[in-house]
Amino acid sequence: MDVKKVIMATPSPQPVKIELELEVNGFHRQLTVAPAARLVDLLREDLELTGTKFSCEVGRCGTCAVHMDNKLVNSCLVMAYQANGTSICTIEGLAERSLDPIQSAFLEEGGFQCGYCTPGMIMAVKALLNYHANPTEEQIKEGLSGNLCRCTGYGGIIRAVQRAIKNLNENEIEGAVGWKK
Amino acid sequence: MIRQGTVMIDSPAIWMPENLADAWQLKHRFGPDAQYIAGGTLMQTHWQKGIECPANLISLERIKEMQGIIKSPIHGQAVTRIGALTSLDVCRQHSEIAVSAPLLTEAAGSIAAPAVRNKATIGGNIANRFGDSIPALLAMDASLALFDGKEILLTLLSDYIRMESSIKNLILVYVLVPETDGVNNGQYFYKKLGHREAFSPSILTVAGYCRTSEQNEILEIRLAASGSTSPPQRFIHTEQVLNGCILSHELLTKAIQTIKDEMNVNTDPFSSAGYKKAAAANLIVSGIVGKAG
Amino acid sequence: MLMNTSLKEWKGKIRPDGPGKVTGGIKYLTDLTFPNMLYGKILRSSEPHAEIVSISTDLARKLPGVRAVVTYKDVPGLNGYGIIFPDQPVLCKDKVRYVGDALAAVAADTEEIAEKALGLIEVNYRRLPVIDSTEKALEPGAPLLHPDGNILHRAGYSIGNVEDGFQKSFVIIEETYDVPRQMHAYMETEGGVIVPEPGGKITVYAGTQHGFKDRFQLSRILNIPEKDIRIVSSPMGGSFGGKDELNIQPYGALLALAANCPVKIHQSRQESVKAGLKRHPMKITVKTGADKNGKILAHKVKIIADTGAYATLGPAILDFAVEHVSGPYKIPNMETEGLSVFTNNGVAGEFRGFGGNQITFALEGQMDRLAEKLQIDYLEFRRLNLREAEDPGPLGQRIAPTNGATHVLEAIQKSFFKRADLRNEKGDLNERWKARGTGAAITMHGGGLGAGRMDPAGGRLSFTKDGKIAAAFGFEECGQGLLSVIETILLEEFNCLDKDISIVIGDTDLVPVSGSSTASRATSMVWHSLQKMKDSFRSQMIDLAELATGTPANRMEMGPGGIWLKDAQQSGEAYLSFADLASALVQDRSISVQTSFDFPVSPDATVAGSHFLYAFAAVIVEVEVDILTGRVKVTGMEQAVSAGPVVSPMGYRGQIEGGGAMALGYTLMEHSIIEKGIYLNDNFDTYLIPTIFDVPFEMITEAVEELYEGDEFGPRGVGEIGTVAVAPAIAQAIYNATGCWINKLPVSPELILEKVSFMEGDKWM
Ligand SMILES: Cc1cc2nc3c(=O)[nH]c(=O)nc-3n(C[C@H](O)[C@H](O)[C@H](O)COP(=O)(O)OP(=O)(O)OC[C@H]3O[C@@H](n4cnc5c(N)ncnc54)[C@H](O)[C@@H]3O)c2cc1C
Ligand code: FES
Ligand code: FES
Repeated sequence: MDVKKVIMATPSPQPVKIELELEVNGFHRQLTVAPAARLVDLLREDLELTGTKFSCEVGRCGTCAVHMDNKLVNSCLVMAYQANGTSICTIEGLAERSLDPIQSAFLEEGGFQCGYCTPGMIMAVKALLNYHANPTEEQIKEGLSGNLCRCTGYGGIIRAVQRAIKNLNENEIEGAVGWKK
Repeated sequence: MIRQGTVMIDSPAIWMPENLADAWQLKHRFGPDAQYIAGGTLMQTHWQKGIECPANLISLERIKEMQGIIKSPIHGQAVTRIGALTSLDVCRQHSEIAVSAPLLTEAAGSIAAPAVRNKATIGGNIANRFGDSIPALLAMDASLALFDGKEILLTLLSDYIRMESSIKNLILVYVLVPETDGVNNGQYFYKKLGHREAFSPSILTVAGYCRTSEQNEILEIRLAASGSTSPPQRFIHTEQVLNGCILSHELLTKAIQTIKDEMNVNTDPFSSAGYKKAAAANLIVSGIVGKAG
Repeated sequence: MLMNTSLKEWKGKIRPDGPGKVTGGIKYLTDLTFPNMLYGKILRSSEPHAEIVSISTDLARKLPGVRAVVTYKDVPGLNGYGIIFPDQPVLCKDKVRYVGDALAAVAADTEEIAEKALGLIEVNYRRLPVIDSTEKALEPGAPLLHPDGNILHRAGYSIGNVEDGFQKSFVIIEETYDVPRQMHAYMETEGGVIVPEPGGKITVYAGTQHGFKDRFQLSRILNIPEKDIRIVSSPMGGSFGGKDELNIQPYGALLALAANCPVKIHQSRQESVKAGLKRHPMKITVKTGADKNGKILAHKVKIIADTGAYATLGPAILDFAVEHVSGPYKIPNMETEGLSVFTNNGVAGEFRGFGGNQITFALEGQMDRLAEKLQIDYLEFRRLNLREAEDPGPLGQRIAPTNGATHVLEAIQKSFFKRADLRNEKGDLNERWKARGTGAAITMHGGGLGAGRMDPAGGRLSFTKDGKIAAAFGFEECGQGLLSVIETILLEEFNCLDKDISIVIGDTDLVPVSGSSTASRATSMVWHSLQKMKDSFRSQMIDLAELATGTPANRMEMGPGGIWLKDAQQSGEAYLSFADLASALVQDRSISVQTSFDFPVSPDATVAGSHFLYAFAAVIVEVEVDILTGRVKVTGMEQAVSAGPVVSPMGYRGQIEGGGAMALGYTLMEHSIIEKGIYLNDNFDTYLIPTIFDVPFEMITEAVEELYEGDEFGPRGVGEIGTVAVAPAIAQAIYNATGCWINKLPVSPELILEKVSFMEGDKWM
């Protein structure tokens, strides 16, 4: 039968494993893991990227949010086989030489308190701003509606998003000027 | 919930068939030891709640027939064909869908949150039978294409929701949404009631379509509801009562009652059946009134 | 933000813990791993109330990968814990009293194995009748949950003669208020790693709000001296009172000692729900009378709190509620009776607001109803009864004089009128199917643990060999921004740069005793400590500089980067850098100042727990009620807060907004439902907290910084005050929108829908 199967299905006493290949924060990674292992565990345990958190483990809080092929996903709901061949970006992959403008905006506006929701929140903001450079109030809310924050009441987060939009737009204008020269 | 880590002693085997026939065969081979999986968002929440994960998961994600969005006429009618693997986020953002199936755009936006919607599929939303897209699709009179091992059958969604589990092994291949009639376009509405403003399980979700003449006579009407603990339903009786009548306060007051009578809901720990009926009736009737009110 | 602060220049300041938090680099204690680390899991009871017939761990021990299993037999010291008294078993021996009771714990190579091992532990129970309500617990002949009966604590207060007062009253309102069990819902569930150290010592890396208290409790359980236990407790992913009591620490410690390996426990959300503390549900019956002119004459209150299975801080919370029964109002005749009752409904304990939120909902509800009956504007009615600066506290005790009540009421009154104008301007607000209303409420909230409670505070300042001004406090960073507070005050006092200082908190081996990071006390206590230490520290620094340079001390002062010559402040550079100054720290010379003192209490506090320092808040909200569904949405919220000078504007605002949102959840959606002793909503899919959609997009915080003349007590904490008066303000707004009085939380859309159900005379079309 011409069916691709990720692992042997015949009952075996050995734990089932797959060879997983993916890119994480720009680095190629190869891992041997159970096919249904969760991306969040893979990141936190196998790759020691503990910036990604978890809190509900059922897709209900957003603290585990990362980008998979540039889309926001809950890493607690992604299974290893689903992440195979993808490119993952976590909070650790956001800052390159300096902080991402979104990260700076969170610092400047107090977009966090305990900080536990922050990595997921920032990834959600990043996804939002990738999609809408100038989001409306409604779009901001929709973009962040899957990310719970118990500390801030969202006020600081909203101000951080607004500041990030401003920062990004200013960068863009600067960039444009540079290009003209 | 068992947090299994990446070792996962009990990991299920994952099968990745490339076509419908192979998927079907695998399901037959393993019977109750296998389940289809699309985005897996719902299934994982089930496992977390203690429902056992089968030994084999048959991932549908590589099957070509289940992907893509195309417009094509069927029996002379313009329809939008939405592959079952289409993510809810695509349903939410797709410009074609926004034009030809606006209620789906709205419904998709009311389901979960963006990160979940990037993985959750429309097929999974319908096949699990409690999805919030179902009332919207019922209001749009959508049909489903189901693969039964040999061929693809077309079934009205309003028939599908009444079918028993005998159809469980069928693979939902795509959804067909008939184009709204541009000339006499009627009024669509969709409303989800949750325990908070967003990202909430549905207490109830209602949707409808109503087309009236200039004299406010109801020419065509479809009304539907569902909830996270109530199966989806069409209000066939209420539709019959309303069809052909002139919209009036008295008629709508009567509709409130027939909706309540016809609605099939239960009390759960968070809301009473009486409340769900009352709120659903109000939402539906306000939807019918729409801008005309 | 309307914040006229002298500390404005720090507005743009970035929190010291910020960079780690926005980059994901900071390690929470649940992120830690150690070599040879095992994973621990705790077996919790499946029964809310039962006798334990037997516990068998044989099968679990045999499972490959299991390294240690502990039960009550393995507790070397006291098998009990509890901040006030240790009535909660670490591991139950003969009885379970709630579904979070622990029976055994397992350490294994992986979490999966540990979890499987739990499944192999056989517990035989003999079920006992479940006491699932305070009514049942108080019935004569009810089964006793504890040897001393089902009443954990009684508290009361009375003054004057209430019956007399009612006789003279023109209107009387009698009502019962019913408030729910709220979950803290900190995003980081309880967890951490416990590491055995050489010589029988251990290090506990786990969040708590009072490291020294954990050390004391663990020492008692493990039977090892306190000095052999080190508690590292920051940072934390939120606490809100919920991590003050011990949670996973004793199990981790027992397992780590048994297996002689580091053990990590990180509870799942479901485990956290089951075992964790909640806010006390209360039923509060109130009768209040007022005269024709709107003066309140009598106030009679009965509070019944469902404290669940064990004491923890239950008694203190009841005392707090009793104290705040009359809030900021002067009432001549009062009689309050409070009961905290044991049940099998989880365990209720400390939670931001500490009983104040519950009682304020009842008090402000009475104020609204009385005002309405008397046909007096509800804010005016409050003003008529408001305390004045030098009035005694709510229990008749002397308190630090304060005009806070008047200030916040005036602030909110102003904004109320502004909003009225706004409402009139916008014509289209009254869209169909929506009813809108505005409501307000005020509160007075005590800070510190109160009279008669050990409430030590303190801190240490030292100058390190590498030239840093090091501040050490025994407080914890749970997200409230304490590090930022400490930094800001240090920079203020010593006029130095952030690179000149280093801050140590949350590590019992490195910090002095400062008391708990609770009861809105940490900010206030940091400020007090520094006031006590700064002069001595500064003069030691200058003396050292004199020694190093020969320049007379009186010509020098501390400044950015080092010591400056007073007359040469303009010359861009320090006279002597801190690094150079540090090299003068030869041999036995060191600079270190330590202080310890008690949180200020009233000189004549006769009632346990009564306070001396209070903060005030007034809240105004706007709501939109969907009359088709009865759902309420808060569309605007503004809080005016009087809590002394603002130390960190960003932190202050964050506390008020965050508190406001949390209280909005309490009012509209949060309810940890227990049926027959079992939790029905065990995760964020059914226990819903506000999302970004549920809070007003813009919230306003106004800080009234002015203190009463001669007040030397500086900034009060604002960790709690933003949560206290929100619920009654929303309830008032709903009344104004719909005519429906709310006396039960969370607000039930069902009830509102019944009330507004197709409003008479209105037509569908
Ligand atoms: C946090 C969270 C929030 C959610 N909120 C909502 C909500 O608000 N509203 C709502 O409606 N749902 C909600 N869901 C449920 C779920 O995510 C959606 O219904 C989603 O659309 C399911 O799609 P899926 O592809 O992930 O399905 P899966 O989990 O892969 O499958 C679901 C079921 O459908 C079957 N199935 C899937 N595809 C097919 C197919 N093509 N043919 C036959 N059978 C198939 C599977 O065997 C399984 O039984 C939520 C889920 C999560 C995790
Ligand atoms: S942990 Fe993944 S969404 Fe909550
Ligand atoms: S900052 Fe603590 S949960 Fe958001």
